[in-house]
Amino acid sequence: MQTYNINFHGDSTLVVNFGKGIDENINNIVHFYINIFEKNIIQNKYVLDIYLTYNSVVIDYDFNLMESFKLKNIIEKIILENRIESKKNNNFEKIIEIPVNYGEEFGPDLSKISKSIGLSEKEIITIHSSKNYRVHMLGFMPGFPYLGGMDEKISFPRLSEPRISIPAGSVGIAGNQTGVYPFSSPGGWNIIGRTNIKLFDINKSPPNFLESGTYLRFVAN
Amino acid sequence: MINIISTGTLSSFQDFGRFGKKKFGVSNSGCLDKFSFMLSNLLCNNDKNEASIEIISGGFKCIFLEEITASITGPEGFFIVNENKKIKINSSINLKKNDTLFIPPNKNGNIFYFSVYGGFKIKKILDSYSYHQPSDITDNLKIVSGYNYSFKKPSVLKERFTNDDFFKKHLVNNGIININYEEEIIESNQKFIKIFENTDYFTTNQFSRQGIRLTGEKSNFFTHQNEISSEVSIGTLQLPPNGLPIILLNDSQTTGGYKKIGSIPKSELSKFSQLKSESKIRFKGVSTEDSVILFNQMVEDFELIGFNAYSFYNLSVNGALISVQISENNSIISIANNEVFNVYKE
Repeated sequence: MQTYNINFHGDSTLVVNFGKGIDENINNIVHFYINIFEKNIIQNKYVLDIYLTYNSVVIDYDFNLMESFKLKNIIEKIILENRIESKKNNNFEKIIEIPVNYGEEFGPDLSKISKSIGLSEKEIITIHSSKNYRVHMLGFMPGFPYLGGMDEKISFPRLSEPRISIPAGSVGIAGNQTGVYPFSSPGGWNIIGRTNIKLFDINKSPPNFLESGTYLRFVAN
Repeated sequence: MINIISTGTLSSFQDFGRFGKKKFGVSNSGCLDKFSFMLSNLLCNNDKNEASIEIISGGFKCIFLEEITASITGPEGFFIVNENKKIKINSSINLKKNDTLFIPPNKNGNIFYFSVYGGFKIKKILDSYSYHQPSDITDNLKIVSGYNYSFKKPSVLKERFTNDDFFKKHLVNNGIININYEEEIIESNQKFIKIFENTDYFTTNQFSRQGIRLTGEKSNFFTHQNEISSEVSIGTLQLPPNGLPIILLNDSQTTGGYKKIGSIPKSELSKFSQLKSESKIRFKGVSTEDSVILFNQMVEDFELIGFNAYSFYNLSVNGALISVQISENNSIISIANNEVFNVYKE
């Protein structure tokens, strides 16, 4: 029996939670069920948005077209009728490579991190580019991937004072997280490199370069 | 076609918003005050969801390069045509070539909508006409000084206006903002709720389409947070470790990592967006069922709004020009000098 918990956020959002924390197995369950929900209810006018987070499927709905308790019943029925067979991840064949220019003008914080943690710039680049990072979800800004799985050896705290502007494509480290900025934005992450890949392009369908549930690997240019 | 002379703080095209794109990290955007937005379209006989120009904090000025019927809606007050005609907000007006239109800042609210009969000739981006502030994907939908914007079908209608009763009843700050608390807050944080609801908060000038920061006595709850990023929506009230609430608005990020206290219901979002800086508010918890009822009451009241054709006069009184709009049946008379006075027939 799949364990889950349904909550409401405000008057127009239903949240189906499948567990706590950042966990690939939970994120796999979330991906399994968002596909099922989309197949079953996305054609209905009351559905405004369906998206996922690390451990939940989120449904924004129009309360004038669907009452909250009825929607809850519909979702519970769908979960009951659709049991996940394997929590294992089978998306490893979808590893997207992101070419990165590390250091120098592209990664102004790389030398500072190197001096501080006692690893050479080359070692940091090797560690950073040797792992497959899970795209748990997209969020924060269009096309921004929330990645999991960075090696703790290269974790480094956020800047004490955020930069006013970070160029689009910047690859950063904040604590145990690593990520890529799709757009120029203010930010407190330590920037170690930059990619030319456009992570979000409205002229493409779908517009996102990365897909949640897949993996990426940084490749040093 | 219009030419933009000044945009004020931020002017942008908006409609009801962009849906079905949160999975890509794209927030809904859309009009901040849905009711004033719809009213501007109805005054121009448009579909309720036709793209309008949303003007934050006034200061917008443009010149008309051809004839059109336009409407301005929002908080009680006036806008100015050709430097000397003061027209009450929530009116439509016929404008000719070389006429200018200016929306001054207004003490009663923040957000105005400017529609034209038939709509503006612009292209949808990701299925919507709404500008999205935090990214550059919709820059063509941001209004820029010096640029021209075309109309779909330049032509005129009868000039009409409405009274301000709907705005006064539903969109003026009464000092209370309803909130739907998170279930977890209701279940295990009653002490927090008691203190939170007895705290005076004030809106600050840190206001954008992404959200608004409040100031007031700092909360001592949830000062150590280790939240992972999770869902947020328009109206989400976050309490960061500094103890001062942030309310997310239409262009906010799609996920957030601060402690979620609850969400401002749909029925309150227009009123909340219209709050001037330094407005004093207190929060009051309501059930989602009650907030749905309140929203539907608002919709019912909105559907009852009547439109009256009017005649305009500029009267010279003791050397000063006073603008007067009189409805066909004399039921509404609006007089604008530096204030607007609405006179009702008994």
